[in-house]
Order: sequence, then structure tokens, then C-alpha cells
Amino acid sequence: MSVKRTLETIHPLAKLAWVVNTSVVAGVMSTPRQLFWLATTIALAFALFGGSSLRKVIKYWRILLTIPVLLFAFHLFLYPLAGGQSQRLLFRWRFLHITTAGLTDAAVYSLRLFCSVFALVLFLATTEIKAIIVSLIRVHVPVPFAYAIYLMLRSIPVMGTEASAIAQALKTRLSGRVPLAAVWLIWSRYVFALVLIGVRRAEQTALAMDARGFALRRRRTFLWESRWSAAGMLFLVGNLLISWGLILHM
Amino acid sequence: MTDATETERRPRITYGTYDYVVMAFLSAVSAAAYAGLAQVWTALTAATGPLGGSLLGLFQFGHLIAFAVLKKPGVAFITSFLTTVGQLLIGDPSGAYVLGWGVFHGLGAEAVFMMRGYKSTSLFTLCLAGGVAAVFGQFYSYWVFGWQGVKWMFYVSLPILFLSSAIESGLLAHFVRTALSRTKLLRNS
Repeated sequence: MSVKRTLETIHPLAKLAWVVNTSVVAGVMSTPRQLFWLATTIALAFALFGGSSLRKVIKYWRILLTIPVLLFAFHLFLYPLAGGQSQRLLFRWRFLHITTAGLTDAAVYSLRLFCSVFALVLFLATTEIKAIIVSLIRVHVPVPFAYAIYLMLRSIPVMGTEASAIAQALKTRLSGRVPLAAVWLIWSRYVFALVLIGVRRAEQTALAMDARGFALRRRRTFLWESRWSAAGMLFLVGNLLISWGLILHM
Repeated sequence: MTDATETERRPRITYGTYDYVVMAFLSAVSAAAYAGLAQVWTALTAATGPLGGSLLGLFQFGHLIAFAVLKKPGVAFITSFLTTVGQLLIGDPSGAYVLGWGVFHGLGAEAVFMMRGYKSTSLFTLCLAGGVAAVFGQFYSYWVFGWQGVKWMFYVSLPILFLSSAIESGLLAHFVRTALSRTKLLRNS
């Protein structure tokens, strides 16, 4: 097993628990220093074990950077203008004020979001989503609920195709510029058609599943093997210790 | 005899394959729709604070429609949560925090449906559920985005968000429910 594949071979639930834990820990942390170190641990995990997924991670740059940067700017510049606590003034140019409180809050809230999104991006770049469902059933999540998640994930691209077909059909019926008053009507028709197709497909799928005796047994058999490895346990426990240790000792 | 009376008093909530599949499909529709909307809403809210995204009240229609179709306790909550799981797994700009909105929106809508006895799917109920769910979600946004310093903006945003969500999501859900019952496609129509 090569080192660069390690993050991809770790149990999906270990990584999912890590993503949730990172967000919880980031939410509890209240100083930029703690959050900086948390971001550093995620970056280290990526650098050490996620080398092969660099391209996939870069694909997510928009969600990784846009919102934290915007949130940083909001707290930094607009926060004092909108009546936020103004402490020591660090910088002033015309109407723009940067205060110590603004700078601290900007760092805390943007880093908090960045840590959560960074962990999620690493998870998405290194995990086969279908494997999560098998793992969920293995940890005794009720089969219908786990299947609902699986079905929902499988339906997103299907419904996406339907959505673009409906949008094209609506476009052909429109000529020129659409008046603002008609936007609501068009949007409603679009959603209605989409929901109608969704309900029809749900009816067909439910019938097919019932016909194959889906609801008869609680247990399922899978082609995928889902076992907790020592690496997965180590990854999860190590991250839990490091992240909560950062809160306790900083 | 006593057991039978108990069962009559507190009927057990059971979901069949059809219920799970409808919730899954409606969650997929909502997750696909919200994925685009969430990019706009999160950017607006992050850049301008509580008032930024308060006019965008379309984040409730999925679970409102799911309840209108199935009329069972817990449907709005499960659909709302499933939708955010979908958003999470296709990559949401808020990271794992998106799950919190699923919980809060679901609880808000569920509270209104519970108060109405899980029977009413009238325009008023759907609009109220949409508005209340959005307000519940805004309290969670307050924590995620850190609006402690701009509380006046947050308080102003609450009635605006309530109205925008009630009108946009509530009306849309009502329109879709009415149209769906005319098609006779629903099992309980």
C-alpha cells in the first residue's frame, strides 16, 4: 500500500466522523490561534496522506476559498461600520475601519468555515460515496434510511438531467426578454414539472422495490467489503485527540 | 383491550417503501435545486450579513412538499435532513455546517405541522411552516456566521426572512400540492 493512497483507503465512516468532528471542534474554538493550528493539522493530513487527490481538491477551490474570504472581509470592514464592538483602531481609510475586534472575529469565523470546508473537500476527494451506505448499514443504521440516502444520491444526477430537459422545454416556449412578473410563474412551472417527475419516478421505484421484496427483510447483502482497519481507527482517534487537545491546551 | 386502546391513542409512526422513496426523490430534487441557490445565498450572507440573503426564501419548499404529499409525522424533518446530507455530499460551501440547517429547518416545519395535528396542508399551514422553519434556521446562521456584533441587522432580518420564506416556499409548495392532487398521482389524493 503506497503512502499516497492511505487517505483513500481509510474507512469512509472514519473520515465522515472526522469531518463532523472537525466542524464541531472548529465551532467550539474561540481564538484564531486554535483555529490556525486546526487548519494546519488538516493541511498536514492532506500533505502526508492525500497526495494523489491534489487535482480533485483543486477542483473545489471555489467552495474552499470564496465564502471564508467574503466572511473575512465582512467582519473586517463592515462589522465596525454596522455597529459592531469597536476596540482599538488599527487602520482607518475614509469610511473603512479595521479594529482589533473586527480582525479577531474575521479570523475566527472565516477560519472556522475554512476548516469545515477543507475537511469536507478532502473527504469528497478521497471517498467513494456508495461505500458510505454500506458502512452505515454495517453500523446498524436502519436499512430503509440508509437506502433513502443512497437513493437520494443516485437520483441527484437523474433529476439533474430532468431539470435541464424541463429548463430547455420552458426556454423554447419563451421568446425574447422575460418580464419580471412572469419569472415567478415560470419558476413555479419548472419546480412543479420537476416534482411531478420526481413523484412519478418515486412511485415506479417503490413498486419495483416492493416487487423484489425490499421491505421483507431487514438485512442486506453487499458486494463491497466494509471493515475497520487499524489505519482507520488510528486516523480517527489521532484526529480526535489532536483536535480536542488543541482546545484544552491553547 | 388496554393494549388496543393504547395503540389507538398513540399510533406508531411507520414508513413504507413508498414513503422512503418519495422522501429520497424529493430530497434529491431539493438538494439539486438548493446546491445552486446555496452558493448565491452563502456568498450574499457571508459578504453582507444577516440581511444579505433574507430575501431568498426558497430553501423550505422541499420538505413542505414532502409533508404535503405524505402527511406523516417526521416527514418534514427527515426530508430536510436528507436534503442537507445530499448537499454535503455534493459539496456545500458551508462544509458540514450545512447539516445544522437541515436540522433547524426540519424542526421548525415539524413544530408547525405538529401544532396543526399533522392533518392540515392548507396554504396558511404551509406558509407558516416555511416562515417558522426559516426563522429557526436564521438562529443557527447567527452562530455559524458570528453576527453578535450586528444584532440589529439580525433582528431586522427575522421578519423579512419569515415573510420571504412564507411567500416563496409556502406558495410554491401550495401551488405544487394543488397541482399534484389534480393529477391524481398521489396515493392519498
